[in-house]
Amino acid sequence: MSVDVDALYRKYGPMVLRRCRSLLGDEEEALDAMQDTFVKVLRFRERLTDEAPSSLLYCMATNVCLNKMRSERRRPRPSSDDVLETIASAEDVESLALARHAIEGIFAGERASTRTMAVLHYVDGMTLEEVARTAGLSVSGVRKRLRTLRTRTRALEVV
Amino acid sequence: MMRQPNDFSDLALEQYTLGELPPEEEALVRTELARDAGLRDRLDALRESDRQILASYPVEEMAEAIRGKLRAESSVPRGFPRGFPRERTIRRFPPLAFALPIAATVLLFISFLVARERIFPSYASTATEVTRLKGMKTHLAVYRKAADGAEELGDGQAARQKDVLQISYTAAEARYGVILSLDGRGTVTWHMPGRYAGAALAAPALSQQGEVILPSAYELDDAPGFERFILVYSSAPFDVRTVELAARALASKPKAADTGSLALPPAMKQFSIVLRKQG
Repeated sequence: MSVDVDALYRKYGPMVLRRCRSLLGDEEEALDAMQDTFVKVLRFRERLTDEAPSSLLYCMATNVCLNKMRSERRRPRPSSDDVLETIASAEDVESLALARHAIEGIFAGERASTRTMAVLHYVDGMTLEEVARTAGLSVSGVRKRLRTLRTRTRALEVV
Repeated sequence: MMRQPNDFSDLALEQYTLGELPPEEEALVRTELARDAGLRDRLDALRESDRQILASYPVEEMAEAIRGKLRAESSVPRGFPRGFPRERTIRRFPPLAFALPIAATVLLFISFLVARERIFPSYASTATEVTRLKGMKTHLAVYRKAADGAEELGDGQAARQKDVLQISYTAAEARYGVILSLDGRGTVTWHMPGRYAGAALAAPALSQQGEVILPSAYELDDAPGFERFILVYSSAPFDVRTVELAARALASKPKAADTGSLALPPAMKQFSIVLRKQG
């Protein structure tokens, strides 16, 4: 699919930047993450369909920010207390290389990582139905994935 | 599920303004907007934010920045490039050959530093100063594939023909950079951008996401003496050809190539690691 970078940024840039700001709480970091999100989309542009990509971009931006928090040991915005940080550091046993490939999983049918879904649900307050629609999974699939993450991450058991 | 007024997620409102909400959700938002001033305020704030963001970060500027990062990623080839010149001294391998061991090594190393500083705070200002600075400053690192993972090679460390190496960089404050190597035969090999052939070319933008492992690994050939990896970086854009000319000039001086500096403008900094060839 041919992608016009100017048009893509004009339409979705503000949404992606707001998402990155809300998770990272730092303007420069958010700007960098916003650009990285578009770079990842463009890198796989041949796999993009012409359907509305806002959900995809939102999930990708979330994933990019989570990786940034984890790799740079950043603390998330204060208002999100420990939940976001806990999610960001979850699955820490995965290697950096695997984390890098998580974004490719989005294009391979796995629309969003479990960590991304956890942020949508626990931090953004989305219902399971909304998370399922955004992530391109069934509600039961989302519930199962979040349950798996909770068992790995004690702090989320009490959320 | 019944929605409460003004209970729409941020994404739902984003999608409403983008016209990408499913019809039934869109109708729900429209109905709520007619009777919920709070929701109207959220939507107005979103549209004002759109305007401010596009004014602060213009389309042309951001689109070019995104294209620049994309070019930087694309300039590094994945796997062995077709038609790679025979004169190159290093053979390329798929990255996953030991990307995982390297990542594990890096994580272990970081964990070790964090743990040590927690237990022995005095280390922070004394014994580990050099190591800690390395984590904060622009630098490159070279790893060698080992039977049980990967080991980081320090400056001056020994290496042998057929050692498989992986290069990484950490940009820190640098924004643009290139990586090349010189060997004891006077050969210049480009690692980033990987297919560079000597023409005028803007240096790739460096990723700011911590340590970045180049996507290809390399096998050392039988060039004698040394293999020296050099990262040239700057906070401002520069032409790769400037570095190419300086590298060829230095490579042509066998007695200086392993320790001398590239003759570059003051704004362009350099960091190098030399491996001494054995066997």
